[in-house]
Order: sequence, then C-alpha cells, then structure tokens
Amino acid sequence: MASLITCPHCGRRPTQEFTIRSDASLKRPAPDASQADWHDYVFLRPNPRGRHSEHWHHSAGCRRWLVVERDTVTHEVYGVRDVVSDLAGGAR
Amino acid sequence: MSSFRLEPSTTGAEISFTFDGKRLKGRAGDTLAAALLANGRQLVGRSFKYHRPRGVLTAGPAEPNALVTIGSGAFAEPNTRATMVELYDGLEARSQNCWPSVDFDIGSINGLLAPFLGAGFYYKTFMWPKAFWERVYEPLIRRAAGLGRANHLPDPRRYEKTWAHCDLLIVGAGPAGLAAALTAGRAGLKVILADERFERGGTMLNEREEPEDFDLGEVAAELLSLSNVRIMMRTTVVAHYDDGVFGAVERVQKHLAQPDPNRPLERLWRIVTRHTILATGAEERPIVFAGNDLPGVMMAGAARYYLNRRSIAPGKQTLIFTNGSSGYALAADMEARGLTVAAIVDPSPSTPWAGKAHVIDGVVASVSGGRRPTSASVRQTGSSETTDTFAVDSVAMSGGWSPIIHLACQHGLKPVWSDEFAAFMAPEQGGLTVAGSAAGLSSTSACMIDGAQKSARICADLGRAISPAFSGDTETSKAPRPLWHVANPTGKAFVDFQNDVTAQDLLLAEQEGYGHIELAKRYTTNGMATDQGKLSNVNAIGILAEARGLSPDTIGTTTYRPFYTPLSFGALSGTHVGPHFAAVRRSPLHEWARKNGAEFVESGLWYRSSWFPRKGETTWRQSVDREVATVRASAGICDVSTLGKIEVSGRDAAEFLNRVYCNPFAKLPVGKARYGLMLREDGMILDDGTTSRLTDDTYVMTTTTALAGPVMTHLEFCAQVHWPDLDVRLASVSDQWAQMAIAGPRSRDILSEIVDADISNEAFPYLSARDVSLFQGALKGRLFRISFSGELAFELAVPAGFAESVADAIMQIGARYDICAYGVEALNVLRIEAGHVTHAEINGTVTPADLGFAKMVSAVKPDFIGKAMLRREGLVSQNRPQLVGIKPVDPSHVFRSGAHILNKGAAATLENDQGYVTSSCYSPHLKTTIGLALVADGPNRHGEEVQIWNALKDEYCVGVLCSPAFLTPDGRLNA
Amino acid sequence: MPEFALIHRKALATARTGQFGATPAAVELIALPECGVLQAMAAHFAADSEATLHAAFKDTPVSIRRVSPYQWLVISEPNVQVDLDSIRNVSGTRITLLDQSHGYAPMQISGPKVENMLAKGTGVDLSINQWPVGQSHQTLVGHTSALVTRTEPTKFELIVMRSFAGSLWDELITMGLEFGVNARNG
Repeated sequence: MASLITCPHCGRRPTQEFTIRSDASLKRPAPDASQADWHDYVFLRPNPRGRHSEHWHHSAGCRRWLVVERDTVTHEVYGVRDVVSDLAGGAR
Repeated sequence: MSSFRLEPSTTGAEISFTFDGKRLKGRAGDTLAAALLANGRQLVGRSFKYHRPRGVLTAGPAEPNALVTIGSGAFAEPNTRATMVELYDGLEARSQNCWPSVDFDIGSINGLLAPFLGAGFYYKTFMWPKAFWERVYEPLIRRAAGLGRANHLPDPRRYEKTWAHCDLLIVGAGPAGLAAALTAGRAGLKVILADERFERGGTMLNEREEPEDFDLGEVAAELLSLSNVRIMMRTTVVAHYDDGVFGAVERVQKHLAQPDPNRPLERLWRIVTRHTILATGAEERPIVFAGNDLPGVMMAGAARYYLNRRSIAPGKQTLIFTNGSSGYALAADMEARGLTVAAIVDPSPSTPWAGKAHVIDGVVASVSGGRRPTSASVRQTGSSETTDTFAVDSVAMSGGWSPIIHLACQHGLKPVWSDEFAAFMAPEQGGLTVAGSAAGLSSTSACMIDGAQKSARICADLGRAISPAFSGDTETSKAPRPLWHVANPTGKAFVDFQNDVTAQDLLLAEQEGYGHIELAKRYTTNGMATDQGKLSNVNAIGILAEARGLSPDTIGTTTYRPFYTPLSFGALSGTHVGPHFAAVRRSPLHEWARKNGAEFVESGLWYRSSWFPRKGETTWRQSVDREVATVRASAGICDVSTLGKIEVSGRDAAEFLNRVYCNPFAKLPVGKARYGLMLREDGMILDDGTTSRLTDDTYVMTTTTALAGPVMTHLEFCAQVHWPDLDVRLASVSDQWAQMAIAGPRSRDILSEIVDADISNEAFPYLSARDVSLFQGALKGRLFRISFSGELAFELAVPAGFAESVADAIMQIGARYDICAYGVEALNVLRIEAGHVTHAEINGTVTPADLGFAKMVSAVKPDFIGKAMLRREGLVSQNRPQLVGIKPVDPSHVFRSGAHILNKGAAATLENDQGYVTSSCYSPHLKTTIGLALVADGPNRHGEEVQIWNALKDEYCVGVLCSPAFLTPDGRLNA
Repeated sequence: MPEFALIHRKALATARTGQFGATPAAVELIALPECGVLQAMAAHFAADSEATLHAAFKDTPVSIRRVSPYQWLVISEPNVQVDLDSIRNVSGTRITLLDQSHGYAPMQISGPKVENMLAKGTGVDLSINQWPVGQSHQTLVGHTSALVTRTEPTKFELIVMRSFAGSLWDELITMGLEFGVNARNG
C-alpha cells in the first residue's frame, strides 16, 4: 500500500490522511435497473491482481473524493485525479 | 573463564554494573557484552529449546545468544541483545530462560529429550490423548516457552514519532556510507546518514589500524560541520515502505542512566527520501559444525572488535576456523598483542600468511567442552577421520560474508544469487543503490571509493554534479567456495542458535518432504527467532541446496518483510497511548457541565455528560431516576452539542436531500423541521436525524453523534461522485453551534424569558425551526421544537462561545421551575419510555419498516439512496425482527440489552430464537425495567408472554411484548 | 427581567498555560484571539471561484486561506467589521459564505525549533523552500486535521475545529517538550 499519495489539490501526503472506499469503476445503476444489476453494484467487488482504480477520500485534507489508479501487486501509483475529472483547480 | 581484558587498555573510565545480581566492572564505551567478556563471563544465557549454555557470538545486532533482561519492575526489557546495550553506571542486567540460575539450569534436562524435540516435533508429539492438549501440554509448553518474561506493567517512559525529508538517505556509517555522505554533503544535498550502532565506522571498528587513505576523525569532523547533513547514530532503519518512505527507530536515551524526562526514550522516524544508498555492510556467517554453539565460540570479526577496540582477548589458546581472509586478520591482530593462536584451519587456504600460527588445510570436525571449549578436533582435507586435536579455551569462526540487503528486498523483489561473491545480492530497483561490502566489496579502501563514486552519480542525477570524495579502483576478489556445514557431525551442529535448529533438523525436514525453503523454515523454526535468521538463513539455504543438489538460487530465500530488527510497541505508538490514544473532543458546554458536577462518559472521541449527581446521591441510579422524574414533572436541560450538524445549501439543496433521505424533503416548508431516515444503498438505515429548512436554500441536517463523520463523508460522496451536476454545498457546523435540549412541561415558560419572539403553541407549533433573537437582541440563535423525550421540548442552538452563559441563564431562570441538568443516561431512559430509537436499534440490520417507519418511505420519489435494494423480498418478510416494547411480568425482575427472546416453553436454540433486547433501562415512571426489542413479527404480538433469556449473565425472566411507546405521546407534545 | 451576562468564552479558555519542558523555552505557543472566520464554499463546477472570492473581499482586510480549490476560510481580525451583505452582493450565489467564527479555534507556534516540532505531527515537508511563507495546508497534525499556514519563516498558525482545540493544544505541548514551550493565552 502506498505510503504517500499525491492529492491533486494538496500535494504529497501520507496515506493516513485518506479513507479508502472501493472500486472506482462501478457506476451507480439507474433507479429502475434490474435487481441483479443493483445486487452486483452493492455487493460484488472484483479483487484484481494488478492495475485497479479506487475511490479515496482526502478526509484530513481537502475532503475531495479522488480516483487513485494503482497496481495492487507492485503498489505503483499510475495516477490520482479528482472524481470530477474536468474540474479547474489543482495542486500548487 | 576464557576471555579477559588486556592491560594496559585505553578504553575509558571504570563503570559499575550488575549481572544476575553480581556487581561487576566495565569501561565507558563497552557494550554489556564486551564488559561481560572482559570479566571472563562466557556463559550469559541458555538456549530456547535445549537450554544449552550460550555465550556472546557477535559484536552487533545479529546476536542470537546473549539475550538478557535489562532493568526491573516497570522498566524491565526482556530479550535485549547484550551486544547492543551501551554500558552505563548502575545498569542492571539479568540472564533469561534459566532456573534457578544460568550456571545451573534445570531446563538443560531438555537436552535429554532431544530425540523428541527434533524438527516438526509439535506436529508429532503432544497429540495424544486429545484431552491432554488443553489441560496439560499446552499450559506446560506455554510456561516453558519463550526466552525473557514479558513485563505486564504499564511503560512509564515517553516515546515519540516524527517525519523527516531528505534528498539522500544513507543507511550505514561505515567506510562506504561515510564516503557517500561526504560526497553528497559537499554537493549540497540534504543528507540523512543513519547507523544502528553508537560508534561511526562500521567494520572499520574491527580493525587494528585505520587505513592510510581514510582519516575517520577528519571525515567525521567535516560531516558534522555541514548543516545539510544529519547524522543519526543509534538509529536502525527497519523498514523500506513505498514511495521512498523508510521507517527507522532511534534509541534516543537508552544508553543513559538518567534519561531526560523531556526527551523520548525512543523515536520512530518516517523518512521521505528521493534516493537511498544501502551501505549496510555484510554479515559474517558462522560455520556449522558440532559444538559450534559453546560459549567461547565467536565470530572472527567480533573477536577482532573486542580485541582491537576494547582490548579484550578471546582466550589464551584460540583456534581459528576460517573460510576466507577474516580469520587470518584476527590471527595477525592476536599475535601482534602476544596472544596464542593454536592453529588456523581453512578448507581452501589461499590467503597469504606469514605469522606464527600453523595453517591446516581442513575443517574443524567438532569442539568439545561444557561452559567453554576445552578441545577441538580437526580433520585435514582428504581424511575422513580426526587428524589433529587441540586443547583450546576459545574458538573463532568465519564462514564468509552475506551482504545485508534486507531493505532492498522488502518490496517483494527477490535477491539474486552470485557465484562470484558466493552470496545473495540485492535486486536492482529504481531509487536505491547498494555500496560497499553490501555490494560484495571486501577492502575498506574499495568500500569507501565505491560509496563516494555511487554517491557522486546520484548527485549528478539530482542536478548537483560533484567529484567523489575518494577515488581509485574498486577491486573485486572472488569469494572462496562456501562451506555450508561440516559433514557427518558427531554432535549437534547449530544453524539457528536462538531457536536451537541443527543441520540435522534441516536434513530431516528435507527427508520428510518439507525441503521447500518456506516450509523448511516453519517446520524447523529456522530463522523464526528474534534475530530473524540473520546468521542462519543463508547457511540453511546452502545446506538445503547441497542436500537437494541444487543451486542456492533455485532454493531461494524466504519473504523479506519489515522490520529488520524487532522494535518496541512504545516506538510504534509514540505519544498516542492511554488518554492520548485518540484525539479528544470537548463540547462547548463541557466546562459548564463540569462546574455543575457532571460525571462524564466517553462516547467516541467525545466526553458527554452522563449524569449530574447532587449532594446525598451515592449511586448513578439515584441521580438518573431523579433527572428523569424532574424532566417529566417540570424541566431539564441537556447538552446535545455533540450531535452532527451539517448545513446544506446551494441551488439544488432540496433535491439533494430528497435523494439522500428515504422520505420526502423536496417540499419541506421554510421554518419547519422533519425527521429523516437516511438509508444505505442496501436498504438498511444508516442514520436518523432531523433536517430543518431555515431559509429558501439553507437547510440544517442533524445526525447522531457517532455517525456525524461517516454521514458527512457519505454526503460528500453523493455530491461529488453520484450527482456532480447538482449545486449543493455541505459544511459541518457541529462546532459552530452549541445545542441544548430544554424539555419538560415548564420548558416553554423558561425559554420565553430568553427568546425574544413568541413561542406559544400557535406561533411556534411542533416541528418549527427558526433563527431567533435572544436576550433582547443581544444574541442570535436557532430554536427547534422537537422532542426526543416525549415531553414538550425545544432545542436551542447558540454560537459555541456563548454556550456557557446561555446555559447558566437557563438554569437561573429555571430555578424557580425546579429545572435540573440531565445527562445522556437520563436522556436514554426518557427516549426509551417514549419509544424513540437510537443506534441501539439502528444497528445496521434494520430497514425503516422494521422500526415501524414503513409509511415514511416514499413510494413516489423516482430515486433515493437505498430505494432499489429495499425491494428485496427478504426485507419485506413479516417474520423479520421488528420493533416492540418489552417489560417483565413481575415488575421486580430485571433484564438487560442483549438478552434473547424465546417463546414460553421453547428450548434455547438458534431455530427458536425470536429476537433480542436492543435497549433497556429502569423506568422511574412505570417503576419497572423496560426495554425495546427486535422480535420476529413483533408488532402483531403485543400482549404475548415470552422468555427473556440471557445465559451469558445467567439472567432469565418472563416478559410481555407491548407497544414501544410506554408513555402516550399525545397530550405531551402538542401543548 | 434580570440582566444576564453574556460572556464569550474562548475554546482554549481552560487550556494549560505556562512553561513546559526544557529551559529556556525555544517555542512560543499562543492561543490566538478568536477572530472572524467565514467558511467560503463554491460549487465545484464554477470557474474562477477563487478570483471571485478575492474580488469580493478586496476592500476588507482579511486573510484568505485555501482549504481546497472550492473551500476557503476567510479570517479577519477581531475588531474588523466584515460587511457580509455587501460582500454577498459581489459574490452572489457563486460563493456561499457561512459564519464559523465560533466553529474554529486559532493557535500559533513560533521559534527556531518550530520545524522540528511540527515534523512530529505532519508528513508535509516543512522546509521553507517546500512550504513558503503564506502557504496553507489542511493536514493531519498528530491525529487532528488542522489548517496550517506559515505566516513567517519561523511562525505557523494552526486553525482547528473548536471541539478539537484542547486536544491539539496538549499534543503541541508534548511535541515541544524537548525544546521547551512557553504556552499562553494571547
């Protein structure tokens, strides 16, 4: 697990400042989607070996939700961006 | 007694210390191990399994044998390596794992049980009879196991953690590390140089003379003069984390008899670096032969350290068994001091030797003795029998050198076997460079040139070109063919000294199918002791490789993980222990509560006032019963500031609230509060609270105390991830406002004197929520007419800084109405009596319908969090546990939360379980214990008698299910 | 109706003060006077929010501290009058301004050892070329999140949620013991 993460707004920070949720590729289904789709969204998680993107919350910092792309085996971080990807603003 | 101090020695002032109660003398600059050796103390401990006599083997952190307990009482520290303890005046040390004494240890009887204690013995023995395991074997083994005794008293010392940032971290202050630091320091890089020992120099400390081209004093002086270089001695770099972060433990004051109370005993560093040089040196390997564990058998390099640095001779008749040049250097050092070397035994002699001692081409077949060696048998190469026997009192051995590469391997990369160096080398990786003997070099000269050159390259990469502090050729000499063990030992030949693992054990593991290195490790416990296999891992790999006819590369190493050496829990905790384990949050009414005599309870990070005892009250029940009665009879004031308050604003605030609550919020009128249930996406209730609309586009949401943080995070997720197109802004105002509940029939009378506006029932009906002016316009606040207690009640929010004054005013005004302060205990009784739920009922497994709130769930909203999954058939079944009230048939009977509900006459089985009590209390109004429970089909079973069953507390009684609203709410609220 | 004294109590009114640890003390820890604090928030899709905010306050002597690209704390001295209505006229609905003057407690540490001391609490690089004067970071100090601003080369301001103030204060004293701390209410 990465020891430092570069928040796009705040710069490099220890991982203790973040709360990690789960797979960022999941999209909340439409309200009238099937029960099966909803079940998968709420309960099923792939657990990939390798490259994977996650939702991280910079809870002790800017309190923005971020998408962290990292490798679960090598711990290499490929990118960190705000969940709203076309936002203005960024790190100093 | 073999070892002794040579006089005259230039080794520092005399120091007094005790070992096993005996007063001994040492010198300033001695380690405890050195001082014991100087006193002729060969025997310092007993081994783990066989309780064999053991002595000092090394002069550094890899020491497996000389484990002692330092200090006593709350300061006692077991399993401390005597080789790492800096002697100070008054130091108390004790041997371990022996009784009654290290010299006469009853445990040595285990030696006779040796045939039953071989590799994997715990899989084969102590299995029968089955019942004996729990009652006989396990307690016995537990008592006999272990080395030192853990200290069960709280640690009175201070510890600390800190961060540091640098351009270049250099691990090891030997010739390579010092040269690297000097080079980078001159280049202007921010350098941290860390070494686990208290003296700079690394293996140079073993030498009799300093090399010509390296003046340690000058180098040190220049380094100390550079403000961009931080030298940290007594600091072990224990971990290589991701992103260039290293963990290190600094022993700040462990060497001081009187530590400064303002400084920590140990400090844990998190070092963030751009590049790292591992100049960690190489570990000298023992040779595995029969009797190699006797006290008085020592590593050759260690013997050189004690002789050259501390003037301590290993013995009067020393045999040297060496594969490589290390033993010859020791022989030269000894002969220069007039000491006798019985012989030098070398299985592949190639080192030039012009000294007095005789060189024998062969191996040491065995060393015999008891508390120290007495004789050694040598077998010349080509012979299968003993050819020479020597009377000796000490033996020095050197099997070769293993680069110390742990930090380079903690990321899952495997080390690489090199035939040239006959060693495992560090794997290549970005950001990390290995220099000196850690890279396989052997001479001091080569190491310092290597360190300087590699450092200069890194400086250039980082944009600061500089010439290396030293230059020249770095020779590499091929290492001799490894001698992993002397074949056919006539006695126990130890591979892992601390865990008593012999070569025979490893061969047995291989025979029994556990030859894979990871299996062999666990089967034999090789490398699993507190020394983590520093002296045993490589020999074990070599022995297995030989047994299986494979290369050590194929056998491979076990997985490397932090930490390189053990560290204390104190260092890992730092200052966050006891009351400082977590942050502490205090309500703005904390001082007010304290001055009114409150007893506090910890609630998450908060302290909440629990009850307010009055004079004459001796139990909490007396206070709580009084507070409950007073609120229902007249009035009470309670601090509810800790509940979360979130201001929700923005153009789409209403729509946002409508999507996060299961009930409708889009049309909440201005000036109104509404109870809301917030669900999780799986349909279970996440939290409850009231949200009020204060202006057109400003709402204030309340949450429970415990869920304030998680709800805020959840709302931020919804706003940023699910619906980023909504204009909604969220601000936590939990600390901006103090909030107090004023409840009871007289609450309006009291508040009318503070609130400027009309708060009659007509002007301020139930569920009103407004900004108000207080004290004739002197202060602004917010008033909510909501009730958790079932009484006529209000909640008043005022800016936190004025909370105490306002609460004082309310108490003053309320005095003539008999107002009392009440805490969360009374609050809980009042709400149970009223049938209101908290997180005792909202426990993550209940839906709105389970709590009787089915009608709250909107059927019309197209979407809200949890809507889709609420439809699951398992969530609409009638037999789900649902909210009921419960009370005992006999009012004198008592039950508590957690008790289970069973039908009358039913056996206590899982199938018969009807549910459980979620909340319980004594109701002074009803004069009985009452509770809320979740019971299958509960709402349809009012009046039914049931068993209330609690085998955990041995409490059983008959109860009756009823409505959760024990007091009729009507007439109480709308007054 | 009797008059009631409405006394404004600082968050750190009962904080420990005095000299702690090594002497002479190398660190000053001050509980700053509680000032005006406005929490400013913008929608994350609104462009140029920070510029709008600065423009709105251009005639008012305040310090605008950035928490994120969409959130700021606007700090004014205790005796400065902030005309919220006229500022809101300029910023309109693009910026929400929320009075949080009671919600936060400000404190300050200063002295030659201030970097060594703060390094015990935060992983952000404190060297002046990485963290220049005027820059703010919302970061963990120990186990409390605080808005930390370097106001001078050896002076840092820390603004923390009110309920955490006492706990952070105590933690700062502990961090400073080895250097010596003079703690006082300013």
